[in-house]
Amino acid sequence: MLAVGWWCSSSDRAWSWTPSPYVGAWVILLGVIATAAWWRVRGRHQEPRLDAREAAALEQGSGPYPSGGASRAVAFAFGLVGLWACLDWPLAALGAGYLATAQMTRQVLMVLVVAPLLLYATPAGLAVRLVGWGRRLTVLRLAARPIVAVPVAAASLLAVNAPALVDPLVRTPYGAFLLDGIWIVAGFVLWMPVQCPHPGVRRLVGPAALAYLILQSIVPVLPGFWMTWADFPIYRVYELAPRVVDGFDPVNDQQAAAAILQVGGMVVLWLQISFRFLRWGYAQMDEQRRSGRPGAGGSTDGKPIRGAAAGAS
Amino acid sequence: MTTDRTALSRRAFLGLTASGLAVAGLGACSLQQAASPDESKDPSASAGWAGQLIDPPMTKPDVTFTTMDGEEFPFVERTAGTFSMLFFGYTNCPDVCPVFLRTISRSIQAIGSGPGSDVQVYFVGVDVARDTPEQLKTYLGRIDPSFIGLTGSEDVIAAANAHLKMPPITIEDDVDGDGVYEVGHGKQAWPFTRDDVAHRMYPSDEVRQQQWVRDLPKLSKGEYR
Repeated sequence: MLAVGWWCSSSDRAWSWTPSPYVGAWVILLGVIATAAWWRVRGRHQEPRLDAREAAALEQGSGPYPSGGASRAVAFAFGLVGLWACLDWPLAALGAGYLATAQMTRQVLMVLVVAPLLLYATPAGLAVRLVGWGRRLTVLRLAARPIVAVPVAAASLLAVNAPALVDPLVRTPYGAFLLDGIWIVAGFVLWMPVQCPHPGVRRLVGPAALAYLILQSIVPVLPGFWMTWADFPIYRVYELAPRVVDGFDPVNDQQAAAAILQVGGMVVLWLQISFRFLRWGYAQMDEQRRSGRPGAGGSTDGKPIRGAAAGAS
Repeated sequence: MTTDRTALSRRAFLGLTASGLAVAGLGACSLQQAASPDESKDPSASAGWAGQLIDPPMTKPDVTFTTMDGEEFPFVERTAGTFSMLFFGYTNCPDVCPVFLRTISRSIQAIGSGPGSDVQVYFVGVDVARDTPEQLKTYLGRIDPSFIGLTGSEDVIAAANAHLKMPPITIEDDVDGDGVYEVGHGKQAWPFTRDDVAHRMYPSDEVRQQQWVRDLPKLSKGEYR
């Protein structure tokens, strides 16, 4: 029998492979799909005219990404599938009440894969339509500043892995929704300084972007270290949950979760750092080749390089 | 202009460093505190104990079980003066029983040697039709071969269950196509200390490894307050 809940939470019942879709997850997914469909059909044809204030605001930003229609579509498709995997049965149900490994897989997938894919897939025009040029842009610019994004993302991601928060919150769908909401928002905040789709936001590019991502890669070390070396299971919910896999005890589960966070998360993050480094390096070489002057790459006024180099952001 | 930018960068760098350190410190404190078991979860648990104090203490059920080898096991006589843990469950239990048995097994391993490691766990299979001596041996062998499985007639098990004031054992009539049915049983675990009584009762599905590792050595030494 198909059981439907609005959001996943922990349960004392033994794990069952009977599908149990979550309404909240499907509402979010349909919201994302509806927004994309609206943009595809109508929104992108309604090019807004910028007034003088908006044009000035645009000048302060990095401008839009270079167009890459096919890659954006692919990023959107993968981002959507990843989002669905994170929010719905079985991964969400396993993560909410049975296995720390599943919960950590969700977090790594959402924060390090789905968030950057969806941000990359968002066209600048859509970001402008959603955020505009007023107060919301001011908030977005604030969130996209590393001095804000680093502590907000780090504190949120540490908090959602603290047993004092996890154990009481996953008991109810409301608490689990709040917990999931925190790390989903934290995932987007983490990428804002380097991947914000709004053209009115100045993104970090080149070495600054690389340094920022390297700094963010340090954060998972702390909970990962704790989970690896703790003598006992640190999460009550996973320790006393009925076992999903016989013989995979709570300490094994916790250590596997730490491995996913530290090794899996690092691999994903460093792949992106490497990719950005190569893009930036090639852009620098192109710049030098065009100018014919070795070592003359980059802008001289402190603004990020538009065009190819901005594409690396 | 350059000076302004340098000052801004320096401020940003210092801010980032300070934020990072603050976040790391807060995270470490949070994780440190959170690793401690949540005593507030069980309001009946007194400070420093995961189990509920029983006053007057509970005596052992004076019944004769059957061991995994088919021999008679007069519980009071055979466990006199020892530190023993009595738990009622069934081998097809999908949740409480395996979680408790694995938790207590890992806790005893974590204690290693000395007081607390000497507790003998007795698992009474209440589903008489399926919890045969052979089935108990196979089941406990997978979890911890040092555990002793006990069974008996329905009357014997019901008498022991009633003596411990646990809810009656119920066997569901709703048998599915694979012959699977659920059995209702008490979740209490009873640690009988060397004075042959249980001074504390533990809700088996709520007590964590760290709590067993703390409580078992104390109980083994005869402390219960």
